[in-house]
Amino acid sequence: MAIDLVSFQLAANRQELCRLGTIMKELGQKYALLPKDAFELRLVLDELITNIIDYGCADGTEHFIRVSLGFEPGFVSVSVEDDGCFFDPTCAPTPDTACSLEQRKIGGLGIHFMRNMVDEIRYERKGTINVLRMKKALAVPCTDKKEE
Amino acid sequence: MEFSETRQDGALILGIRGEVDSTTSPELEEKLIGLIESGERRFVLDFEGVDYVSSAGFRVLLKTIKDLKPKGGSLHVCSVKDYIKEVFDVSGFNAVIPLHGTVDESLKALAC
Repeated sequence: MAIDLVSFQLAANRQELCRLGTIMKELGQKYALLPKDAFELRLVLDELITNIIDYGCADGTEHFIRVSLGFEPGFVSVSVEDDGCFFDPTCAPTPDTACSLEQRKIGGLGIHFMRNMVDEIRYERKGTINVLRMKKALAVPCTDKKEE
Repeated sequence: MEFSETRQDGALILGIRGEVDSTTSPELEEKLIGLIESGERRFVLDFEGVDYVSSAGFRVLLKTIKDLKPKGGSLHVCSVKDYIKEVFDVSGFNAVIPLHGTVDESLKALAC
């Protein structure tokens, strides 16, 4: 299977998270991803895009979020671009996941999940655009069901 | 998201079916708040029918367990899919929320 590129664009509002979930489920089936890989890939995008909507694009004006996924047999390359304010998830503080229940803070987990579920992550600010590139190794190589 | 409620050995077994994400987690939160307000204190959340949980769902679990603790209550979770269990590990929630394989194991742990 050669590199298969899939791109889609979302508006920066929370209603779009449902559409993202539907798209990711369909892609999981199309590329025959293991439930674990499909879950983690969806979680990465869900958490990242939720944060982009809530923090990067919360100025009340319209913004776009562009997602590109490159499916290769052993991994998936992910690129997410948005025109919100500067938001570098690689620098977000890591929550203390070992503290007691009383000290546990509600929140801050999403970006922590995202960073833990990918193998490579790189942020770049290109002019007015945030660009986040990630790579995720797959437990089992994906295949395009249509090619079989 | 769909819920089922069963009472056994003094615990409320809340079966959850669907996805627990930022869209649906307010439903779960509302359900749990309502049950706590009506006097429930011992919970088993059956995740057998749950195939997706995001951080929004974990926030609800943490908030609920923090709410229950001073009231002398407890919350156990069972039948979590392996790939979701990994997120419990990554979040450190496995140290604050007891996870069990089955409802029966949860009830036994609650009885101790």
